[in-house]
Amino acid sequence: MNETSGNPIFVVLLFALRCLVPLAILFGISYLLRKLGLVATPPPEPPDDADETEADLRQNEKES
Amino acid sequence: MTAKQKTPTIIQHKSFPRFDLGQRWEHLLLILSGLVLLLTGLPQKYPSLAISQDILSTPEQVNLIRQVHHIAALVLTLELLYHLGRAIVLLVRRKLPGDMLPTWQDVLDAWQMLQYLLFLRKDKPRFGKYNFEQKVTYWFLFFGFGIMTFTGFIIWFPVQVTQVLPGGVVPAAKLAHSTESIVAAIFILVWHIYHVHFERLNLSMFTGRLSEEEMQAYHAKEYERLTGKKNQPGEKS
Repeated sequence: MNETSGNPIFVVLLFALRCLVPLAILFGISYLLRKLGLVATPPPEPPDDADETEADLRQNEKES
Repeated sequence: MTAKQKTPTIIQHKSFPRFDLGQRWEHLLLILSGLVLLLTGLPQKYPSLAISQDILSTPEQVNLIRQVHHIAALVLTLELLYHLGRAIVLLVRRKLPGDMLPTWQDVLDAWQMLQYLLFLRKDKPRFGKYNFEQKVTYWFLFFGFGIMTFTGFIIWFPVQVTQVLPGGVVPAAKLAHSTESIVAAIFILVWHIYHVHFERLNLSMFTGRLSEEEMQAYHAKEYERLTGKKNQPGEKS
């Protein structure tokens, strides 16, 4: 039994699985949440202040 | 004021909301409780060190350090429960943002970043609201703190736990708890501190906002989504 756990290939395999299995589970959950439409996609939001360029200002002056 | 006098130019810097007040409070609580847990946990993990001997020199001091550790643990546990509870409520209401969930694009981004770092690619990949590095940070600490909380309570209440579970879980929990704490501390010091202080000073977790320049440079896809504007050529991406 000790020989198996001491085998470096076995240790490397366990280490790889220890990293990959939780990652695969996380990706799976993420995929399911998106697929089932359980997560919200936020609509585009404007920045916190007006986005006025010089051209816009000139256009406003002409109009007024 | 004469006509020749120029009116002062007002430069408005746009900024974009990134973290709400609740998220910033959560982060602050995480920093404070995590720091106290680390400082009171290390002497218990390495009791033979000279500094640990000083800190844990009398039974009263050992007791005090443990009590402080337990209080900080309760604060962290409440914080984690709030975080999970909020996520569940938002999920039920279909309002949970999916920005932090990993996608295949993150794998591609990581691969492209590796190519960029090895000079096999000219420009960095363009990221959305959270890049793959930030997602790794979040999920690593999410599971890390989860493991430490779970095993911490096993160590704290061994008698009650072993009435349900076999006795071997206590030394196993002790090993997992202390080892995970060291891994988490190294991860924060090396990975997280590098990305938020050395790569660039990113204080959005405290201010709650990111400037337009930062959005264009580090979250180009999110910037384009929010404004509908394309990044100008030559701008950082």
